[in-house]
Amino acid sequence: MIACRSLHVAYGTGQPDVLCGLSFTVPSGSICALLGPTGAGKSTLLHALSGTLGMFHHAAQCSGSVTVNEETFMPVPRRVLFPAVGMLMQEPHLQFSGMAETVEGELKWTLDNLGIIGDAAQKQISVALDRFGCSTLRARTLRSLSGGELHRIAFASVLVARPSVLLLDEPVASLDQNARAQVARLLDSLRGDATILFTDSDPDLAMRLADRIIVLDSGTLRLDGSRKTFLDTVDAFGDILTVTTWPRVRERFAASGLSSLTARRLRRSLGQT
Amino acid sequence: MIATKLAFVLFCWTAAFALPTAVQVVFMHAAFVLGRFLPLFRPSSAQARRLYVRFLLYAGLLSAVVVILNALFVRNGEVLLDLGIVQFSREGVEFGLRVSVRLVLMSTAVLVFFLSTPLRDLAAFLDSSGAPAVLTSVLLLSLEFLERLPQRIEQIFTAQEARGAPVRAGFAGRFRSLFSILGPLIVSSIVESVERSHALALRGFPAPPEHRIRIRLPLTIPAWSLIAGVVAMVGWKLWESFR
Amino acid sequence: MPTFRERLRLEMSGPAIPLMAFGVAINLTVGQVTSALKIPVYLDSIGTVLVAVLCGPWAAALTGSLANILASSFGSPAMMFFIPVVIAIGLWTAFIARHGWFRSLPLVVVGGALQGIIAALLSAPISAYVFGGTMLSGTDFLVIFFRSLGNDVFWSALYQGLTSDPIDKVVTYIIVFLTVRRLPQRILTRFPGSRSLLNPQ
Repeated sequence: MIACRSLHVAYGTGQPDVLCGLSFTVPSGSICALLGPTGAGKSTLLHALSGTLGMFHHAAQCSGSVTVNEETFMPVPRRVLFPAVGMLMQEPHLQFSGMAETVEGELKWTLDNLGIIGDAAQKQISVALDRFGCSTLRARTLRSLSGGELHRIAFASVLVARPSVLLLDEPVASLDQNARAQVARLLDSLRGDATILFTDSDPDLAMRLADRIIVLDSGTLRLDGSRKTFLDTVDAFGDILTVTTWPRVRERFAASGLSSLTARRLRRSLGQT
Repeated sequence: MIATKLAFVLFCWTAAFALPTAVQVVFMHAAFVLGRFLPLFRPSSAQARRLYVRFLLYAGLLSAVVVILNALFVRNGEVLLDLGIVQFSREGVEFGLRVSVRLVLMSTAVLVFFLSTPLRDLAAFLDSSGAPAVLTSVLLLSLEFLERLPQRIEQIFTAQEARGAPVRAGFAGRFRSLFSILGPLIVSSIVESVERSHALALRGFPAPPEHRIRIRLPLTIPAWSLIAGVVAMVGWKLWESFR
Repeated sequence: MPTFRERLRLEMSGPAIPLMAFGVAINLTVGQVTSALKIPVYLDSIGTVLVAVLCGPWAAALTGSLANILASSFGSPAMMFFIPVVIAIGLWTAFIARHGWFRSLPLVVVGGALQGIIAALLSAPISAYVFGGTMLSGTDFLVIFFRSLGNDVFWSALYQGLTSDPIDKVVTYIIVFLTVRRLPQRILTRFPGSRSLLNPQ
């Protein structure tokens, strides 16, 4: 579970607020999409929730409170909440430790930091790689992987620690449609096992997956509600959200149910993957 | 095995200062032979072998230059060769030989160690032996960045040239370009450092001390022998000094 | 008052570790830039200076030392002998940075010149007594010139160092000064050394 109460964040004394009094709750096991344009404060919010803001940004001015998995911090966690919280960075190459050569070595590095070694580590690595269909990449060097493979291994390197909260910073930004669909399926399979919050500037993935949608604009909450609520008020966000295919999808959503399975069928019927 | 090689380097460095030049010459040749024939000390890749050969040529040339220059410029003592305008002194030759043998012995020991020890293996050895995590992490990350930086430099160079930076102009223009190339390189490195530190912390780095696995491997007999040799040389040198 | 151990831990935490690695890599690759531009400076301590300013003395000393060790491993074992010099560069730079010298260009120039003198003083005995005054590089001609004037190998190596090191270090310091002052505050404040860059000590 993730919750914020009146969260204000500025990067220094006298600096303008990057997050302005945010209050929202993401129930345990659900998937929440955090939408907004560039500079809305999405990444700052993820860093505040993960603990990296409080731990590294000593000059940051924060107020309010953050709750992660029943633990409340006022105002923000001052330590990184590993392994309870896992975070996927926007750039896959930044995700890697730089201290391992192979895929297995990279995942093992995360588990070494947790003190998990030997057979237990091997088992957890196998489970993480299987989840992404990457078992065949186990012995490969990271250097030899394609962009899409790197993205999946970066994800696996976070999931191998079995976090109960997963924060994803623009997880599909640089992916093609097939890869996006793969990520959507994976996140869907994690529903219930972890509380997932992902950011995006395009509502496409949110419409496929999210139980809740939060819209952020210049650090201010514009919406916090279900997909239906988002669809009902979607006209208000045309100025800040990237619009690709959703207008036509909206009509069909409005006419039918909101399950992700239905959404996929509708999109296929519209000739979109 | 790495511990044995480190003991070998320590032995050679101690010998370079503690033992007479004639004995150092013997050890120098022993280092050459070890680097060529003993599997433990042989270069670990084709590139390492090429570097070893290049070093041997460099060492030979450097030694010759050091001896000749010192023979020419050290003007004390007996003259070995008088060519009229230039004279080669015995003291200069001896000084040159002492310096070059010491230099080659120490350099060969270091190079044989590194060429036969992949740096990642060295980092793993240091980590399991209890070296600070900072040391091994910086070493491994440096290797990663060393692979990527040359390409980044080339990209910045090309980008700045395309923007009109005078990279091929006169000296003043090229000097100004230095700032326009190194500035973006340094800034991008700083920004990436911040982002990487987040990613590392989010995966539990640095591991708490109780999670770090330390394996103290027993030293081999050759390693113990080399260490004993170091102690003996130091002891002998101290005894000689105070005699 | 934090203990030495605590100060060391703070200096080498957070973004310091990746920055130190970048410092090592920049030290070893900056030659690619200077030779492409045909500028006769080394700048091979620029990474060390950057880490000294942003992190602290011991992080910088480790950065410089590792760079020299890696250079040795890549076929230049002679670099190992100059580790004391690069440690001194890191310590001196961090010392003056902590006293606010990197907030003013004239002080940066003076600091760089003094750094060059210190580097020359420390390099001279190494160059003279380990290398016999020659390293098969362009600077050998300067050493030979000074020796031909009747100076012994130590003084010749020192004069050669005093001719080239101050200029090299001043340029290095200026580049780091100009770059660091352009960093956004929210990036700068991540580093433990930033306090002396933003506020007088």
